[in-house]
Amino acid sequence: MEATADNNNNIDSQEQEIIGEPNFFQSFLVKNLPFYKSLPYPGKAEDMISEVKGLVNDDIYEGAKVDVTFKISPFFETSHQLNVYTPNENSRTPKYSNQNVYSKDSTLLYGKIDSERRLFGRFDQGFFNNSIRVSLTNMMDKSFKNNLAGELEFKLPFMNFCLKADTENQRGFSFLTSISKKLAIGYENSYLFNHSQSIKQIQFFVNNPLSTWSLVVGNTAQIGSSYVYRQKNLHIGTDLVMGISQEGKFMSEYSFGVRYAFQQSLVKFRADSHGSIFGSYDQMINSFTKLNLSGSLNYFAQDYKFGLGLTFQK
Amino acid sequence: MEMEKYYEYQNSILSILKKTFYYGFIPLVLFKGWRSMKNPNIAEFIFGPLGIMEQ
Repeated sequence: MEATADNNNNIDSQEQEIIGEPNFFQSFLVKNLPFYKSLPYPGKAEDMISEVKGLVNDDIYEGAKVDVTFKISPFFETSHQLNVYTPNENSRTPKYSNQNVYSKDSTLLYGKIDSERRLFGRFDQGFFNNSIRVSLTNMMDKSFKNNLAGELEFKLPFMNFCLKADTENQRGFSFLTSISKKLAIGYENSYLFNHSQSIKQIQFFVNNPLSTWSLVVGNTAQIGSSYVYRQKNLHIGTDLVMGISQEGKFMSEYSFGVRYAFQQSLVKFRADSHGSIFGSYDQMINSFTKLNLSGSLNYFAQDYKFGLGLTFQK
Repeated sequence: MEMEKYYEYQNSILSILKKTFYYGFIPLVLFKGWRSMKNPNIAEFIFGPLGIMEQ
């Protein structure tokens, strides 16, 4: 899941929103549903949640890494990453990985392969000024075992609607709609055929220019609440999950993260209710070189990690 | 019997498609990247834009 999240995070940074003249669907909706004229586009629920997760989740790595990224053209970027670390049974970070991103107009091609010969590919295509977007992703290992997933996304002026399916027999749909200038409500339903289980969630968002608050309630007897505050160079995020765990016990998890961007450096700090503390410092050495120092410690679990990274980006 | 042959045929097609994706997707992305360059240059394509040390 970490690899997927990393891939998804890289892909999201490359996607570009295209804003153009309203198409037929948008004109039809605005004409026949005047109530929604003043409602903003709520975006995707996953994007809102991932913004908080990006603050409260640590991106700790152990050992050293070198990341070299080239922007070959305005539409194409390639990246090479080398990792040097002490191998252990819990570490699945590949020693080398290569990522290639091609993005032009409404088309996105993303490919990643690593030293363990695992391939991740994604193809996105937008239609009608990106009002309809088709996404196909495939993860495959060296034995050609794969997981193919597809997503069909509809972007309306006031709503986002998604249909999802994959070869692991998981089907789902979700929607998020604005009900006022600041409020949005959403619903997600995923059915796992292999487990004969349906996961349903109701999502509630309060959007302000400087902050976003969300509440997620699901049929898994868990409640999640997130909050992110944005002001110039300062970002603060909190995440709380509580409810009944899979073992049938009451559980609660709280995470807090803060990120501050100086002119030439970036500082991150994170702590959670499990006693884990994470800190990171990024320093721009020159216009294309960045030094990263990060560390994570958990006294209760006797778990300590330290990482040193260099990023070259042209 | 016919169903077994059909499943064998289906599996062989899927196997070919998987191998095609596995060996062909990255080259496809690289090809699109190459075509997107104003002045295609193999050195710049492999090692990045020239003049990296000048800045």
